Amino acid sequence: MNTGGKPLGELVLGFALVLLGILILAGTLSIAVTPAYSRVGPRAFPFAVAAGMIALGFFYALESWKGTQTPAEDHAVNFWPIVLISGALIVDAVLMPTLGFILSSTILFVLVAAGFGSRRYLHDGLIGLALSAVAYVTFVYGLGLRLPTGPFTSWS
Amino acid sequence: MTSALENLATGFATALTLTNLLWSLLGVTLGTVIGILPGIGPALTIALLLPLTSHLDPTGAFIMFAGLYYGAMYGSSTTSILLNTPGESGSIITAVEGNQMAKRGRGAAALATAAIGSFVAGTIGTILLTFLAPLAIKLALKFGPAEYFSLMVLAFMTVTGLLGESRVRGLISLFIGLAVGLVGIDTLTGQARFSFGMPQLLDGIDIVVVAVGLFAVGEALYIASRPALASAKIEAVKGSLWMSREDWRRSWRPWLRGTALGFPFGALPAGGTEIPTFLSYTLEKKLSRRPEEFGRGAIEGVAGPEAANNAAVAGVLVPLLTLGLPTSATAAIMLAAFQQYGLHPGPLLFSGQSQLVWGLIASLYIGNAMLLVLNLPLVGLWVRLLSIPAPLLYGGILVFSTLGVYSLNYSTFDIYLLLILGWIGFLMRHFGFPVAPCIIGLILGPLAEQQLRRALTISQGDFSVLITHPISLAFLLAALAIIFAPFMMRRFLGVSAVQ
Repeated sequence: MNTGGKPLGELVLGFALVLLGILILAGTLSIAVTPAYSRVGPRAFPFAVAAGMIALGFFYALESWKGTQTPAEDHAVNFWPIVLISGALIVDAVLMPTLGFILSSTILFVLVAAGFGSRRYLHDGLIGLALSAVAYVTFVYGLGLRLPTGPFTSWS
Repeated sequence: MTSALENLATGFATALTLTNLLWSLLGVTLGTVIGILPGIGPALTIALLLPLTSHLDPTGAFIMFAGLYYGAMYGSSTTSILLNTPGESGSIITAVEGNQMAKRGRGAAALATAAIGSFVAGTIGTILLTFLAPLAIKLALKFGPAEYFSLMVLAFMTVTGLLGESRVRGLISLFIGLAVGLVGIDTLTGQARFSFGMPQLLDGIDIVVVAVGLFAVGEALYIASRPALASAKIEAVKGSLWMSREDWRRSWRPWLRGTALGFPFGALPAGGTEIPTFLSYTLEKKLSRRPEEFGRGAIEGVAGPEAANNAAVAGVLVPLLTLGLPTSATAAIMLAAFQQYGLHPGPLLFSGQSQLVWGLIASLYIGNAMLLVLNLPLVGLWVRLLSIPAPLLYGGILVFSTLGVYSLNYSTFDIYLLLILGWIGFLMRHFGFPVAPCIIGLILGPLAEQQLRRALTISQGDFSVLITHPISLAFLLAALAIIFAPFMMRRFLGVSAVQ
């Protein structure tokens, strides 16, 4: 993360936090206030959070710039697994209502395993299917959760 | 004294019913398993169980949760010793010293001193909890909104100041939690805040989604993106599972000293199980006649810290049950569990729900005994869990994570939210931010706001109420002191723990 001697990631993060603080401040000002509560109403606490966030983000960026903030440990980061696992969750959320819990969870399982470097898709798929099916039966019939059934309508 | 014993007796009557014994057994077993498995901790597990237990009897549910919290501490020592990966943050020291013992063929003795030390510390800690809780309740009765608010500020400072290596990063984590806690309808005026026009956000962002996102998804993204972290060598359990006379002689004092350090750190709002384990390690090294063995597998360096982290867990329950003040991420999730049942920890819980509270405390004695059996003779069984390959382990964790999060509102909206919080969790790990302050800020922030506004309503808007009440002033001064104390403590710990 060290670019030209300055920790670029930390600086960006610091300013992102300042920005977040400003957004909270803007959000705070848009909260409607009834006059009766004007002194310590719903705005006071968010205002304090916003102020704290701006100050801390600024301080963090400053310390990172001066080098007094010990930088986080530097591992080589592989981005492909992050994309794969994030995609797995999105696919799961999109498919769950139509495919049902068991099948969408199986796909999630295979994609996450692939994100961790597994290439045995069929093997992972069978384990994922078994796990999802057991979880489905346990929680739907044992604890009364309502999970999407998908194509297995005859089950419900 | 007598009343505590009487209460405990009725507590045992509750805890010893067949159903509650089964809840306890389920809790300690599950706790051992998740303690051993890397990537899942007690906070995450209890968060995942929240939506599933919402229609169960609260007594049984809390007996299970508490057993799980204790069990996770036992289980994580096994992982630390055999895998050199701390299962929980309280086992970092064990991962160093215990793993050295395992590498030298003394793994079994390390496991034994960890399990027996945990039992000794857990039991003494529970006895202290039994007798201190009624006293803490008497204190809590003196607290008004101003005192509660100042106490929460103190807890914020200790949790962020004492954990991790940087106060700024700890505070940022806390403020992220506070910010997330702002989302939703303001409880006092009914105003929508930070809901961005999305009806799903009016009820706020559920702590389950935040905890599962930060812990499970964040951790999965972090580990997967670092191939070097995904593989570690498991040491086989070698040697007799019973400690030699020499091992006993070298272990019993560290157990007691570890307990003496761990319990107060958990009970005072000092935050978590990490610090006392470091202190205990440093102390044992100083007292040892053979300090050169430390770092190369000294049994005292496992016995002390393992006792300390279990005693700290018992200590954490004191402020949680008597004041509703969580000082660890797991305690924060347990507070959310109380809220789910409409229960409010504090004096009212002890008077109105005494069966639940004392049944819970009594179950801890039973759970500790169960854990000793589960973790000593049966340790070989659990060790096999460590051979689950990371792809399947994390695949399973994410399937259960989405299951738990989806079943909160039966809506896939929460799965998208889970992913966003997972990214935040990933960034926090990447930049070395502690996660616990964020969880505590999320759960305690709205309560602190409520108490502050109540205090100011009573005083008609006069902020001086916070410093004219002596107890409140003392808390705020202590909070100020904490901001400066960790600097010195870090030096002391940093110098001695690294060498």
